[in-house]
Amino acid sequence: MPEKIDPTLISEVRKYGHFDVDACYACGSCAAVCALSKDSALFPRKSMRHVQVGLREPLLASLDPWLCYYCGDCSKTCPRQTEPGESMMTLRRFLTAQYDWTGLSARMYQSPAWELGALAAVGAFMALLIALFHGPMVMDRVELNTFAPVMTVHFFDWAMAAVLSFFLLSNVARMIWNTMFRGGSAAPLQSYIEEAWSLAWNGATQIRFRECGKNTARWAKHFLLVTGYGLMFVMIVLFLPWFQTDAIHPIWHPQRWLGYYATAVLAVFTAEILWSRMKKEEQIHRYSDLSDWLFPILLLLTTLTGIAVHIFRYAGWPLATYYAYAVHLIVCVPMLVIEVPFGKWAHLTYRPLAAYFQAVRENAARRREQAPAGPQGAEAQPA
Amino acid sequence: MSEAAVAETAQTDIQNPDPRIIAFCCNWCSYTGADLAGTSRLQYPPNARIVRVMCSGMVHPNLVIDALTKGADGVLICGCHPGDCHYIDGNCKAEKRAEAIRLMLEDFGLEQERFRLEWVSASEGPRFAQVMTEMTEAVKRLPPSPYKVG
Amino acid sequence: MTPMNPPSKNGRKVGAALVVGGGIGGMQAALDFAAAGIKVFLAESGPCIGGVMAQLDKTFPTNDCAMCTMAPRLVEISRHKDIDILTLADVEKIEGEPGDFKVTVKLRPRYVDEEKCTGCGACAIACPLGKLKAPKEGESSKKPKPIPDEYNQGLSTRPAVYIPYPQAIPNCAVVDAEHCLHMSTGKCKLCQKACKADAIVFDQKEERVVLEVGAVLVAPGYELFDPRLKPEYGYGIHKNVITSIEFERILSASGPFLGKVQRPSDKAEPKRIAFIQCVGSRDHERDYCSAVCCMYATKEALLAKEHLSEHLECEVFFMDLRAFSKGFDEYYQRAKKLGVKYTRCRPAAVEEVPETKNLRITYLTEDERKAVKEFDLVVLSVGLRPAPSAQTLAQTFGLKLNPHGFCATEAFAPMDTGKPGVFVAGAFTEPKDIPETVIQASGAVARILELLPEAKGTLIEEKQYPPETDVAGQEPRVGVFVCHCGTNIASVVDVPKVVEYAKRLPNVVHAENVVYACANDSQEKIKKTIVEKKLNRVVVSACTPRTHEPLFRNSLQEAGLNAYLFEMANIRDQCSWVHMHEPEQATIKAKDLVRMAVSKARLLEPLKKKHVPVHKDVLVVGGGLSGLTAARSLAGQGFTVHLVEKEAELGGASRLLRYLLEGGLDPQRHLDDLISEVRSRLNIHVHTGASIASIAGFIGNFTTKLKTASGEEEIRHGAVIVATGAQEHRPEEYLYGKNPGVLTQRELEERLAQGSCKAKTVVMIQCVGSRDEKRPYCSRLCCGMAVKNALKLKALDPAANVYVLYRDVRTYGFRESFYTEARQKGVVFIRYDEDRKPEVAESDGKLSVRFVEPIVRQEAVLEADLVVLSAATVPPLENKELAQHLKVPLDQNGFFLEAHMKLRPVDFATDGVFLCGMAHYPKTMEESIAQAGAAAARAASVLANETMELEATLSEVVDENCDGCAYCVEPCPYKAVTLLEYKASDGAIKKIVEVNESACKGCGVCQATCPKKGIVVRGFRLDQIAAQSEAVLQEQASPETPEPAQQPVGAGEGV
Repeated sequence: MPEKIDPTLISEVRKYGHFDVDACYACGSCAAVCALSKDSALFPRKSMRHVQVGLREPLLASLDPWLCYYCGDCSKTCPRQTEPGESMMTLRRFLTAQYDWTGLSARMYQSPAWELGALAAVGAFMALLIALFHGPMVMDRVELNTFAPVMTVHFFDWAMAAVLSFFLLSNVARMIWNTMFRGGSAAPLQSYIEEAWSLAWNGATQIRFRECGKNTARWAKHFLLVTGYGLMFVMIVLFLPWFQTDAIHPIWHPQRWLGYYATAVLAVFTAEILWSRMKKEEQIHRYSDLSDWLFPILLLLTTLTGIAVHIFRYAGWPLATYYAYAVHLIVCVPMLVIEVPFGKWAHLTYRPLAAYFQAVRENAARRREQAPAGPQGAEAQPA
Repeated sequence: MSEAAVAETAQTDIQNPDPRIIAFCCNWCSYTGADLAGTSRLQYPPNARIVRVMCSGMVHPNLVIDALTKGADGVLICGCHPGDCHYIDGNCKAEKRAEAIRLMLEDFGLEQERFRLEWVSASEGPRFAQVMTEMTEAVKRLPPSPYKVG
Repeated sequence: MTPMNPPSKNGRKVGAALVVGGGIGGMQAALDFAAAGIKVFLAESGPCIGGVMAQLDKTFPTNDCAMCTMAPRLVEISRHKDIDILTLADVEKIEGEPGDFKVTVKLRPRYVDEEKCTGCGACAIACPLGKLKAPKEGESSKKPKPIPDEYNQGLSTRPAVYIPYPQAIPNCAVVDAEHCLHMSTGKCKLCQKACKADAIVFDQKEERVVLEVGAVLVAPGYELFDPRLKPEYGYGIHKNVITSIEFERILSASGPFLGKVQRPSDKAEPKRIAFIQCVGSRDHERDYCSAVCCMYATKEALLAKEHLSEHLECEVFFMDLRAFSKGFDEYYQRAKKLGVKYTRCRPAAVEEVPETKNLRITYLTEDERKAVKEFDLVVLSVGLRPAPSAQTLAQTFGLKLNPHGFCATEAFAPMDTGKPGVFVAGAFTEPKDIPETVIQASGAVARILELLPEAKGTLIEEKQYPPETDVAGQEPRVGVFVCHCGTNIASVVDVPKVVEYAKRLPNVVHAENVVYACANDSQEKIKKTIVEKKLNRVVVSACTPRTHEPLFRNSLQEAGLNAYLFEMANIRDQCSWVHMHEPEQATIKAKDLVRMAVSKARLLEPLKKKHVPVHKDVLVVGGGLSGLTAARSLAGQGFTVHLVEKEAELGGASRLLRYLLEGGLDPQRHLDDLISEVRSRLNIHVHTGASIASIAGFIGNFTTKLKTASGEEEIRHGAVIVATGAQEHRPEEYLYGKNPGVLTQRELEERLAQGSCKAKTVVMIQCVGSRDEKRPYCSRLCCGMAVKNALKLKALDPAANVYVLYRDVRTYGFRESFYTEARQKGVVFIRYDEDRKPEVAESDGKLSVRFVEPIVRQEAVLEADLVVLSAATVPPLENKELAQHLKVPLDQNGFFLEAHMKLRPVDFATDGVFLCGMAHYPKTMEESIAQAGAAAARAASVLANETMELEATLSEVVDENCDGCAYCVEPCPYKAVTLLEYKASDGAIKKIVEVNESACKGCGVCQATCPKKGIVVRGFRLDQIAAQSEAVLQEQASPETPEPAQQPVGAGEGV
């Protein structure tokens, strides 16, 4: 069946940020210069074209926006200065909103009021919870685990993780449905199994990021940031009782240097991201959506308040420690609740998955090629 | 044939070291090309004598046959490349006549190599020099004109 | 409406014009002016005229040799008594008013006396800087670097004193003061020593001249984009990345590698060449299309294959192939057939493979795959930029520049600058090719002729010669002058021996040597000798008659001798220069050449140029925009015009145009103004509802029978302008005529104008009836029209959805920025392939269009309220009949075929008949107006004369030999020979041919066809040519043996 052209698509996509496709005459230099685009995924040109022409379903079915790491080469090359790199960024926001069945993501991306309001609301709710349910405040010494009993917090962590996972996974399911099943020939299970290693490998290393553009320092920074973030996540969600202790460990203790490493990495690189976005020197930093700001700002604030908690605790200032801890949670929780399933942070999930699905598709295509030409064998895979 | 090979055969097969060649050159292309060979100081054998005509289509077959039967060792007509003719298509007419001339050569017992029709444009100085050289070399390998007096 | 030329306050009109820029446009204008009786100053900022065309190897779409078509013009200009060439000239100031300007021109020193310089080139050979070798790579040398040769784009080097290119006009050396050793050190002067004509003047100073002219035409041309500004393509970094103009020089036989196609890094023959289009065009900074690059790349690819082998790989990387003009699409198709590969992708970068210096390009293939390919050579199709002097000229003349930096003009007056009396032509107004430049140049001339009708001929001086001596019946007395040409001849050929030899030739009564035959003192000497020795034939043995014959003929006339009693022997270009190392052989050949010249000279006869009277009326066929514009121009120039229109109303196809792409102006208002002016002029006779029954006669003297409603009418006129226009094709496909929602662009335009278009979704389909098997040509207008109407739809309703299904978007020139605007306004352009055309279907009265989006390779469907077809522009069927009346050709598509696609775009091979507007090819109003002006100017060059001077060297029937076999009739390319039957005195019917001298060009095809010597070309009679070839065969003149005595041969005796 021929695809029906949807003239409203472009104006809808534009609500998610910059999408200057007007000046584009589809010359192809963006896809030619892109280090990551290949026969099976000729982005950004195809994605640009989906939107320009109004091909909604093929756009939803495509993984291309997730395969782009935004080195900015295409934008630098574009003879019409249409900023295809930024358009891919916009498409990632658009797709995140499309995967999200709650509609919250769309609302928040399209409206700063919604996004800030949601963060504020969760923050306020958090403040209320702390105010109501915090433990006794021991004032002669710092007893954080009395103020915030570690098992309570830990339980709360788990509960929050469960809720987030629910939203995230249900959105992921929609992503899989859109990209791997709807409207096209599904890949055989075998392809999924064969390519499973790439999910783990890419997710752990973001190695594809290294191939993007000439600037490998970006991958290194991003990788370190992810290690810091991952480490922190593991320590808080899985090992909080070990991590949040009142005992002050000696400096060689792994709890301390793991914590220091994660905090340092997070603080330095989020600060660096913010600094670059302010300077706007690099192509990728020329445009900044609110979501681009909020994500590093919240992460940096979480880190800084975490550091403050740590310092006050060591300094032996009980009240400062408790307040800092409260603020820490008031920043950290909305960040996780809002940004992870509905915001920019979702790329943490979608991007490795997209790379995996792409590998599955290619695997399936290879299989089709090798198999004797059946009714579908001759056809190219769906876009 | 490589240049060296040409030189060698030229050394061994020469039957007529100093042939006389008449070249009818059209004013607009070939004669201009000859001038360009001059301004470019391209060297070629001194055996040909150029007769300027307005168009290669102006050269009557009798002029060619008469020249050959009065002792010329070779006759060359040079005109504009097809499509370049100053007079629309005079050169194409020359080409048709050249076929007739070639047929007549046999009747007069003359070798085909004694007559040539070549296209040389106004910007082809090197080509003019090359045509001159080739024609001279070819005619040198033939015996002197059977019609040569004395 | 076109501003009329205001009269100057004092009413003074100067019969002269200044043309700024000596490129092909300026040259055309100069010749047109001079032909119409206006004196011309041709000011060129460089050392010689010729412009970029002089650098081209061949021209598209005919692959004509550029220099072959241009050189005769160069020579004609240099010889023209009414054209003054000013080189190294910069216009500084303009004062006065239209009709009476004073223009101050600064002349930079050439350091060579133009009067004395003979163009022999001895100085250039002597210059030590010409022998410099480039330092080897890595070698740091303090020695002066060789000077890059501008003519060869720096691919070769030149001395500091040089002639820019062999055919340069003025053919005179120039000293490059910046590099000259003498200029910097005060030493050297080797060139001065080498110059036997004493022409090098190191103390020449800058000069200023004030020119009095009635009007100015600015035609400074363009500059090429500097690809260093796009470092991703590696120009200037990778040796084998070159520009298209450099490649043009490489292809040229007179280029740096003598026509051998080599790549710069290692002089190896390339096996794979890539052409990258739109380098410096169609990008964000330069939102216009350079209009010529698609075709020149195609040409260069074809030529490269021709030069090397058909197996040479040529790949053109393009976005839209803009083959929009006459013969272009056919040329493009031919190139594809011959194996030139076209890939629709703009490569992002060119990378070098360090070991091989090959170049690697990453691109997307047509089937949407990513490919990396290696090439041996990459040619960048660099775009056109405004002339380097554009800013200065704009200031000097008060011209407005448009946002792209080109001269701003207005669609209905494309050659007017807004500054009265100052006009503009060529690529300075918009990137354009040679024919369109030539058209604009002639069109601008027409505008100036309208300004200066009463001043025509006032500054043209008739040259007076003493009465001619009658030499009829005299025994030939030949004088021979042998030129040394400084040392150019004398250093190789033994000139004194040639003189001695010449003295012994039959009928030679005088022979002597001269240092420079062309120098003034020698001319005087020749004249004196003619009188003193009663010479009645003169032979000058020097250089080429192509450039110097007119000079010597002039001297003959000044000495009272008929100009045609002259013959030249070219002992320089054919002797001393080409046999430098064989002085003896060269001397023998020189003697032979002199003997040949004398043999012909003895047979020469005095010839008279015939004059035919010129009827001052002109017939314009077609009352559309072009016909009206041409009629108005010619009437404004003072000629009487008969305007014939087959319809009852004037206006033609332009009646259907409601908007212009550029917006603003109202075409109907312009047309109404034009019609009312034409109707009101007393010297325009409008014949509507009239058709042509017959046209007889020839240039200067046509008789036309008109059929009108009121009966037959006969008109006599001196020239004809064909302006029969073209019309929109009625499509048969896409449900046109079956569903009311399917329209043509013109029908949509009408609806838009009436405000009755309420469609929400509009789909336009391009190339309906164009670029297919039946009509292989591109209709040129439709892309612009689609963009125009799409923008109009968007302006009326920004929420309207407009889709354009196209094959190539051909918005050439500044139209590109409207294409950009349309995209910005949300118009969606989707390409389709010729073999996968869109499908229009109807169900329940609703229209839908199905197509394949080629980039995402997705079949898609659109529901449309309107489907608009960009239908082809087709020539009227009546063209055929008119072509037969006028004996002019049509092309395979039914449009009229001009005399020469490049340099004679408004002329026919038949003299006195001219062409303009859509009768020639589909074109915009602006282009039609320019061409109508051009046709008017060309017609004026005929009508301005009281009589037409015909060439003297034309065919002539030898009555006693002609038996009326009529073999010569058919081959004549100009239809100048006709067969007559008459009753002889004995009552028998006899046959004989007759030559129409007005049509004959003297090519001699008839002479070579005639079996009976019944038709000959004067000056090139069979006997005269035969005498030359027989002279070759006379006993070889060895240096010692005297010439065997010969019977003197009388003039006129046949072979």
